[in-house]
Amino acid sequence: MRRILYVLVGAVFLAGCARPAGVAMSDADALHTAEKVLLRECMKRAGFEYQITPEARVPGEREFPYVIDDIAWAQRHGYGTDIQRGLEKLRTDDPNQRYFHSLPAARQPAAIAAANGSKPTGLTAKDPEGMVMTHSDQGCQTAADRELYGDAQAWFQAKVTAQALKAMRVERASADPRFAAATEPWAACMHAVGHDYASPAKLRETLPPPEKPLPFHDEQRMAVAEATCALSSGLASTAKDLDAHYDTQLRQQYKHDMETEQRLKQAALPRARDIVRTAGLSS
Amino acid sequence: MPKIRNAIAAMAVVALTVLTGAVDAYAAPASPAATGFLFVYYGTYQDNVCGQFDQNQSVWGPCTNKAESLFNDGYPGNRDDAKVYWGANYTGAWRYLYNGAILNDLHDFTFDPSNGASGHGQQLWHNIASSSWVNL
Repeated sequence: MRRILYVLVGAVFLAGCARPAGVAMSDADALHTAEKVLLRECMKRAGFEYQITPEARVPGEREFPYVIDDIAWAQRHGYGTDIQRGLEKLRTDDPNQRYFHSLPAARQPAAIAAANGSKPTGLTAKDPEGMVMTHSDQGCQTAADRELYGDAQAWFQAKVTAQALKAMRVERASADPRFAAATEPWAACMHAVGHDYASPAKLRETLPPPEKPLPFHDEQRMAVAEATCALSSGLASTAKDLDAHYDTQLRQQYKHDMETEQRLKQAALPRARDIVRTAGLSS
Repeated sequence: MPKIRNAIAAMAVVALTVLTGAVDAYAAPASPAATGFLFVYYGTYQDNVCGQFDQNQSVWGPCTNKAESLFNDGYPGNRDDAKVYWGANYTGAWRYLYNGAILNDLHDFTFDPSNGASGHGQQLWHNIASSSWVNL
């Protein structure tokens, strides 16, 4: 499908760094940071380093799950090849990845075992479509989840379900006959400006990889056409409406699962804020 | 058709040395003791390593359309979750794999929905052509 598209406005930044002093972390940041503090402490006890880094992002990164519908963005970034390169660099430059690769080869298996457990079994989660994921119930990552959320198995299940529901929302919206109907005038609009593609997804599949991108002018021209046609044909508004519709539907259908995820998070929050505060990372 | 095209493109890639010093590699250099990679296996239940990837892979070389199980054995850090794609160059439908998680038999998994992209709803079994690292 779509390659996920992002906006890059300037250099890579670290999300947590933008928070002014004295301003409390968001709930999501507090949970994320507390988990990393617990991971760091556990890895230290095992004889390894783990650095807490704010969740690094490419500034303004943005997802267009159905079609690009922002002309200004398309003019600036085309299909976001620059964003993709920035995202790849985040991993390459990550201090924890660098640390791991700096370890002697003989120590690396022990570091992985400390972090992820010695074998990937013990936790299982079935997503709403019936697919079963497995993860170790040992290791520092799971220990951190267990300490923070109280129940590593329940948390693993909750996050697998939550991730699956995001994908299901896009699936349902894009499988809706109204989406297909709205794609036809979009394709006609694109054809009129010299681009023959049946859908935004099919267009995306013709693009070269980020490491060998189209000349930017060509990428920009296609992306701007995609966005312009998305707005003028009604595809953008149809996709937005369908996305909201299926979001509501899924929230109803999987109400119990979503409530479980929220309950786990809410219960973990006081603990998370204490952990972060004690570590000197938050007000 | 696209799958045939992916396979041809894949033949051009053998191995990639990356800035971190890790080496993304296919079967021959892959050591059973190696850790810290997205592992791709010819067989189910981690049998017979085909490839080990530390960086994004726009083509999977000889592993293209061969994988029967996957294990995200990466070290935790930024962008430590994996995303595998139906097509080369990160195209087509996809599925995520959390850091530390394993998919033992790709018969049991299908690609996620992807806005009508190629491969949507198909089995992952012998059907993956590229991968990238993401944050979930």
